[in-house]
Amino acid sequence: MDTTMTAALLTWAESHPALIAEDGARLPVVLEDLPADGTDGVMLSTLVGEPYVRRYKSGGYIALYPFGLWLRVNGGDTASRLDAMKVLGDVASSIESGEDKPASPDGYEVQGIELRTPPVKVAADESGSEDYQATFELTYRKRG
Amino acid sequence: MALLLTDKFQYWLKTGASVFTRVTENTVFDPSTNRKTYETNYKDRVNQSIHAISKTTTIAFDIDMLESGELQTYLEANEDVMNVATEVVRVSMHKPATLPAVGYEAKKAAFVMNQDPLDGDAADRLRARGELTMTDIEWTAGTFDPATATFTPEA
Repeated sequence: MDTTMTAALLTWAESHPALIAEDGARLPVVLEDLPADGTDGVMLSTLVGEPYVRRYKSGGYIALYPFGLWLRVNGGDTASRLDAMKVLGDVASSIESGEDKPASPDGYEVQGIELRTPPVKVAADESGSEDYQATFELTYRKRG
Repeated sequence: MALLLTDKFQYWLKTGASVFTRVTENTVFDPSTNRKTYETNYKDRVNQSIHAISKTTTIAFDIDMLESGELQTYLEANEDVMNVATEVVRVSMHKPATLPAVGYEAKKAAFVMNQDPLDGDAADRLRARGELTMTDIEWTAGTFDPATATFTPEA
């Protein structure tokens, strides 16, 4: 079992059924890094934000963990762009039911994930790679 | 010297025949004492004095509801019951008990509990709010072992 929220999110993203490349292979997910070797990949990145929603006198709290998923694709055409938007869109759709969420690390309980910003293209490189981003907000409870 | 924060006081509520449940998810769990006083008005004195002649200790609480939470299940079950007899243990987590006792220094007293209806703001969490009123004359000093949720009165 993961011991931190970051590790739990990474495990969740690594096994997420929507993060599949065009050829059906699983997209590699890396923390705070994108592939620079011309391959497709996903970056999980922690975003800045005020963490606490509520603090309890007993020591526990409700907190937010904002994060982004960056998808780098190397197609450079409309089809690959649509695919990239679909991959991140499928992740966003999967969390709407409230059932798709990371396993809770010890001492914590994941309450749910919400979409903050829908998939959007954020960068393009001369080499043909393009980056797409969707951002999310995970809410969790620290027991105690 | 480090500041003592509120989590150094653990509160445990009696939620069954001999079951204590730790109070968590509590944005409010505030003990206070109201005193009735007698103020002298002697003709032979310029400086009068005020004497406390009785007191009422209460604990106002505001607790977030959780699905299947042990404490929350107890609160919901007693939502509409007046004067629910219970007990409160306050555990000083910064004061380990002196051997051979286990746990931490603590004190316990009997209370009655009265609640407002469970409620919350739109699209926000449900909350259990109410007040505990102490019925014992004094707290009983002792130790409390959080591992077994057992209070042992001072010998």
